Amino acid sequence: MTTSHAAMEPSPTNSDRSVDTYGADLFRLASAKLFRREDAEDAVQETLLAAIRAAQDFRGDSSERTWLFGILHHKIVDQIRAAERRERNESLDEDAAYFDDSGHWRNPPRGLSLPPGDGLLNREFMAQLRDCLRDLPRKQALAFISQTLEDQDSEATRKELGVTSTNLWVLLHRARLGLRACLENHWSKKGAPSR
Amino acid sequence: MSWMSCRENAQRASDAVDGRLSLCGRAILWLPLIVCPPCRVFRQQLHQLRSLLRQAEPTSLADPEGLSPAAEQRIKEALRSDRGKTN
Repeated sequence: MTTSHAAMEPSPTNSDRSVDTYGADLFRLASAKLFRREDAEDAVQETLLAAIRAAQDFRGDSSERTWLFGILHHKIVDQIRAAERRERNESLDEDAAYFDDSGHWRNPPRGLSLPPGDGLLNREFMAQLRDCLRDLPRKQALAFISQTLEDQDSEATRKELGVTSTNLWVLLHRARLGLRACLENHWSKKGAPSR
Repeated sequence: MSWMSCRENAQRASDAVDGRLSLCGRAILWLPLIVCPPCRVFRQQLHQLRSLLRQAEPTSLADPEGLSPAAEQRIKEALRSDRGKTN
């Protein structure tokens, strides 16, 4: 009988304790990849459910936290795939939203007035960035985040999402088209930060 | 010429960011950008985004409010009620 995951074995106190111990951290990472509070909450719940159900079978050869975050990554991708099945598939020619028949910009890029200095420290900007990421199709957002933030190997991102290489490049390209358009629309309207 | 369309320029700019442009592709990337300012802006924006986000960690984009007490409660209840279903 494994001992390292005894903490996860089903019992009311253990399940409560798992939420107290890991809930906030799991949610933090899930929300940084899913951008909708309900989706992130679901991913956390699914993760802890799966962990508690599996605890007795787990061999205990890696730390509990690493194990849990591994499950979380799978649940995030499951979420995205389920959302895709629920919603219509994105149109094959999404580029038509950005380019007319001659291949010219429908809305020519004008410029991004990103916040000066370290934009990541600007709360308003980060909130806008999160909103724009939420507006992207979930797979595009996750591909973009995995590839850009985590500087993940493209092969790893491709496997994580379960797509071909070609699909990955398409996802990234569309994510960029959408993200920069959204930021240009919403951030430029706000103007430079008043602080 | 289709290789100079904005659509093509934008695709090449993305390919460049992904390190997928051939040497020849990189060499000819700049010419269409001279004649198309919006395409040049697009390429700049990709670079701006990339350098901004390079400083970020995975959790930089997390929900600033964190897991709510209500959600914590819901999750706890869901886990407790699941107990009755296993085995």
